[in-house]
Amino acid sequence: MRHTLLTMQESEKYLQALIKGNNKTILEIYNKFFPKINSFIMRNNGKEDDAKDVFHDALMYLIAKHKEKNLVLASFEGYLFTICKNIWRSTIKNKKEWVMKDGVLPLVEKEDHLANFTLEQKHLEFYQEKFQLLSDNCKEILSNYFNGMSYEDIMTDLAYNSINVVRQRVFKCRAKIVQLIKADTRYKTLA
Amino acid sequence: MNSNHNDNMQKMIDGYLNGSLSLEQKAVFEKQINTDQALKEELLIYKALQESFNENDWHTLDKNSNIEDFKSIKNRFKTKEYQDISKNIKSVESLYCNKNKKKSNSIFYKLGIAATIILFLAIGLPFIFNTNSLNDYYNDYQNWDTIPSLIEKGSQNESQKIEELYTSKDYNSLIKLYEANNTNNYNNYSLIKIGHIYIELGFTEKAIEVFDKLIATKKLSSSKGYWYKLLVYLKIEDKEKAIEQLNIILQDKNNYKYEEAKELSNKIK
Repeated sequence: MRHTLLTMQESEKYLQALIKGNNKTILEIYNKFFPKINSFIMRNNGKEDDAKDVFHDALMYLIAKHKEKNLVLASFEGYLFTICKNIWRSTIKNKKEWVMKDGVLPLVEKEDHLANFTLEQKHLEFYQEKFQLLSDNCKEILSNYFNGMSYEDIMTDLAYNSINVVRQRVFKCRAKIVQLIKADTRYKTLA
Repeated sequence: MNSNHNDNMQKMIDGYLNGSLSLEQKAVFEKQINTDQALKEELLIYKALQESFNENDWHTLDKNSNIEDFKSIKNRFKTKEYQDISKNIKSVESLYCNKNKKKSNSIFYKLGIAATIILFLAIGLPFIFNTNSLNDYYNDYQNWDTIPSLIEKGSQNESQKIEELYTSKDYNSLIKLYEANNTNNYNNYSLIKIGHIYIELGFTEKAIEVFDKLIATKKLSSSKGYWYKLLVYLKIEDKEKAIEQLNIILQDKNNYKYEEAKELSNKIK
């Protein structure tokens, strides 16, 4: 409990420093967390400049989010890492889509990507919230399925009798989450 | 809609999403999507879910369908307040980079001298340049935030309680509960989370015990236990045990995180 309280206090300290421009603490954030993000981006086909952009955008996102609805974070590092990872996922996907569309990267203002990401992250959090409402079994099956596990592997892993039974479970669980999403009034405004 | 028809439709959706339909099947299905609004909506949600929950993908949005929200967020980031915050962060970033540049220049200068001496002494240099500690690798490779959360409302089994305490970050109560009911009634994801908390609280031997339990389940996912034991050894910087664990993972390509283990093995050994 004490450990959680300490990390929450640390999170608040960092968020306030970012908002108020306390450079000493912002430098501490760079010293403590940037190397890990840099290493993650490098391992995932990025360069140091990409890591700097991702880290900067993640901090901007955190500031905007904290100003909007007072973020209470049990782990600043964990949340920052998740946001950086998602920004990088979004960057790569956008690059791929642009290249597939017309072969060139469009010139966009730097705020465009951050605004896009903010909307996409909001959608992701909505889906995650609905995912939490599924049964244990559905979560386990869908989580494996969405991450590319074959029906055969799911069958072996979760000790099902046949691939057909697994397929039926995936269909049912997927239908259930769609039903939960559609039943939420926020869905229409998000879509 | 009868169940056979429904089943076929689901298979078509599956095939369409994973790209396994033939050109002919795809054309027929796309025609159907264009005339059936409900089917189209369902397909779009499936696609969004698949992209959102796949760690190697991302669900992008059509900017035009969210144009008002997009403009409002973009304008917020363009205000003087946010521009000033951004400039300030960038200035700290430059400071950080310059400091590290100097530090690394100075390290290289000292290393240059050391290397000359070491060459004379005929000691292998590769160790000098391998500056990453095992704990750095732990930070780079830990994947705790990718473990699915399996909370089911209304259910009261032990795994369920563990999930709730993990989600609410009440780690001390989680450990108390686990130690009071140290049975085999936990699902694999709960075991991973219990192990994670033991690591976070510094009880790494207990973490090993938990991951051994995971390995002993002998399910396909039990190989995750090897990976998480490896993380413990990286965390406590036990190179010998970490290599031992890597060798176990590398024995079978189907083992969890085989590719990452291969990559790590090259870096550590």
